Amino acid sequence: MIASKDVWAGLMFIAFAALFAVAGAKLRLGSAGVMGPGYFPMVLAGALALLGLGILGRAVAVHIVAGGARKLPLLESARVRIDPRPLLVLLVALVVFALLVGRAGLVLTTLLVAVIGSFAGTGVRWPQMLMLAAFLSALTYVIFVAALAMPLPVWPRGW
Amino acid sequence: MDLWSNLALGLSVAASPENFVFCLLGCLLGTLVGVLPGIGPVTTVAMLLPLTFSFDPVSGLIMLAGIYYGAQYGGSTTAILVNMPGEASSVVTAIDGHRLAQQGRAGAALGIAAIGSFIAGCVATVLIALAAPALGAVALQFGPAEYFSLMVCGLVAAVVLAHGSVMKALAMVVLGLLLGLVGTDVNSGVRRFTLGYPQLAEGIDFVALSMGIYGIAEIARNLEGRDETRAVRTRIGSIWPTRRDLVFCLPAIFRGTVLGSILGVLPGGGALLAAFAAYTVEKKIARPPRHFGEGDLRGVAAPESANNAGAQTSFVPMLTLGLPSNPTMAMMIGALMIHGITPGPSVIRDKPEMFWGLIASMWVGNLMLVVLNLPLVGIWVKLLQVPYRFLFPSILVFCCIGAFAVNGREFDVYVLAVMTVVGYLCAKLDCEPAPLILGFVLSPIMEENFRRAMLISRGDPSVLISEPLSLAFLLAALALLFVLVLPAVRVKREQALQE
Repeated sequence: MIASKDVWAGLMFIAFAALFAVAGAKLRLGSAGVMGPGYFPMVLAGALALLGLGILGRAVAVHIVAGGARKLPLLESARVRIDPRPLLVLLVALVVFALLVGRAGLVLTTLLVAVIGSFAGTGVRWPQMLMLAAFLSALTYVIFVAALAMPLPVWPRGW
Repeated sequence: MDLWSNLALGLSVAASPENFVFCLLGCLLGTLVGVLPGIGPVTTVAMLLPLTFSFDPVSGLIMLAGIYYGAQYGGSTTAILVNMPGEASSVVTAIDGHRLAQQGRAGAALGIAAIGSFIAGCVATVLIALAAPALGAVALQFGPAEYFSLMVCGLVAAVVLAHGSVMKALAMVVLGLLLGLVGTDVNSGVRRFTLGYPQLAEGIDFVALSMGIYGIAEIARNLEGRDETRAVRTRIGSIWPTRRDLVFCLPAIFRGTVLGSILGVLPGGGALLAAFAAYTVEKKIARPPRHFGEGDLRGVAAPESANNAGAQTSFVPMLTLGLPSNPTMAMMIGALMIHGITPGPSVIRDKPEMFWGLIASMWVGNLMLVVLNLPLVGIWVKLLQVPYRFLFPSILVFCCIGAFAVNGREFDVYVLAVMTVVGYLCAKLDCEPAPLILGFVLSPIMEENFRRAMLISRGDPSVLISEPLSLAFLLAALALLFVLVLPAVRVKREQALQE
C-alpha cells in the first residue's frame, strides 16, 4: 500500500510542478545576480518535479522488487481507496455558502450550509439536524455579529 | 535587572483587565474546542484564528496563544479519557493516561497533567525571557545569506519530524513554497500565478489555506467509513493528586520540563518530539520500570510537562527568527502578518510591549488552565460525548464564515474549497500537511533573502557557503537529510513486502 500511494503522490507532485511551470512560463527569469520574478519559482518548480520523479521512481522500483514478483500490474497496485461522497457534499456546501452569503446573508446561509453539510455523514436524523443548524445559525449571529461586530451581511438583501 | 524590568513590562500588558479577559477567553475557547473528539489543536487554532483578527495585535496574539495552550490541554484530556489523541504530541500521553482512566484514576491523570503543564509553563516562561533576547540579538547580525540558509535548515528539520517518507515531506515543503509565491512579486510588481484573478494579487489567503487543509479536508477524511459513538463511561475520581502522587511525579515533571524546553526551541521540534523524548527517558530511568504502559502516572506527567514546555519555547524561534517550528507557529506567523507585523529579530526591539506581553501572558494562561480546568473537568467530560455528526457541520460553518470574514469576500471561500481538495489529496496519499504550511509561510521571506544574497554576491551562489554561519546552517541541514535519506533511498525488500 505504501508504495502504491507513492505512485500517485509522485504523479501529483509532477503535475503541480508542471502547473506552476506553465503558469509561470511568461515570467521574466533574469539572471542569478539580478533575479526576475520567474527565477525563484522556476527553481522551485524544477525541484518539485525532481522530487516527484524521485518518489515515483522509488515507488516503481519497490513495485518491481516486491509487487512485480507477484505479477501485479503497476496501476492496479496503485489504486487508492477513496469514498468521494463526503468530500463532494462538503464542497457543494462551500460553493453554496460562497454563492449565497452576499445575497441571502449570514443567518440563512449558515442554516442552509449546515443542513447540506450534514449529508456528508451517514444516517441523517432530520429533527436533530435541523435543531443543530438553527443553533449554529444563532451561534454565528451571536459570535460574529453581536459580539465581534464584524461587517458581514446578516439578512437577505433588500429586507 | 533587565530581565525583571522586561518581565514587569510584560506583566503590566498581560495583566491589564482587557488582555486578561482575552487570555481567559482564549484558554476557555481553546479547551472547549480542543476537548471535542476528532478536533486536534491545529484544527482548533485554524478554526478560531479569525476570531482574533478584530482585536488589536497584542490582544489578538494573546488570545491566540491562549487558544493554543487550551487546545493542547483539551487534546490531552481527550487522549486520557477516550484514547483518541487529537494530535501526535498527545499520542504518548494516551498510552499510560488511558490505562489510568480505565483503572478509574482518570482524575489523577488529568490533575497531574495540569499541574505538570503548569510547572513546565512557569519554567519555560523564564527560559524564554532569558533566551529570546539573546537569540534575537544574534539574529539581527544575520545577512541575507545566513537568513536563507537558516530557513533551509529549519524547513529540513521540520521535514525530519514529519513521519513517513522524507522525499514526500520535502516535496510538500516545496509545494508550500510555491503556493506561498502566488501573488504580486514585491520586487517587480508583477503578478505571479494569479491565473487572472485580481483577488489573488495579495496571495492565497492564509486562513482559507489552513482551514481547508486542517479543517474541512480532515472532516472529509474522518467521515469516510467511520463508525462512531464511543461512550465515555469512565469514573473520573478525585482530580487533585494526592501528596504521594505529586512527590512521585515531581522528578518526572522536571525532567520533562528541561527536555521539552530544549527540544521546543529546535526548528521542527516543538511539542511532538518533546513528548516522545520525555516518555522514553522516563521509561528508561523509571524504577520499577514495569508499570510503564500499564498506567504509570509518570508516563503522563513527563510527556505532558515536556509538551507544554516545548509548545511554549517553540515561540522563541517564531518570534525572534520568524521561523515556525510547527504548523501552529506557522499560524501565529500568519496571524501576525495579517496584523501587519513581520516576525523576526526586530520584533523585540520594535514592539517590546507585544513581545513581553505575550511572554507574560503565557504564564498567566498556564495559571488559568490549572485554575479553570480542574474544576471544569466535569463539563469537558460531557463535551467528549458530543457525537461527530454534530461536530462536523459546526466545523464546516465556522470555516466558511472564517474564510469569508477575513476579507469579507466570497472568493476566499472558493480558495477554501480548492485547498480542501489539495489537503484531501495529500492526506489520501500519506503526505503530511505540516511541511506545506511551514513552506507557505516562509516562502516570501526566503525568496527575498535569496534574491538579496545573490544580488550582493553578483549571482555567485558560493556566498551561501563562504559565510561561515550560513555554511554551518546548510551543513546541519545536509547532515539531517543524509541521516534520513540514506535508509529510505535503498529499496528494502522486506519493507516493500510489508504492505
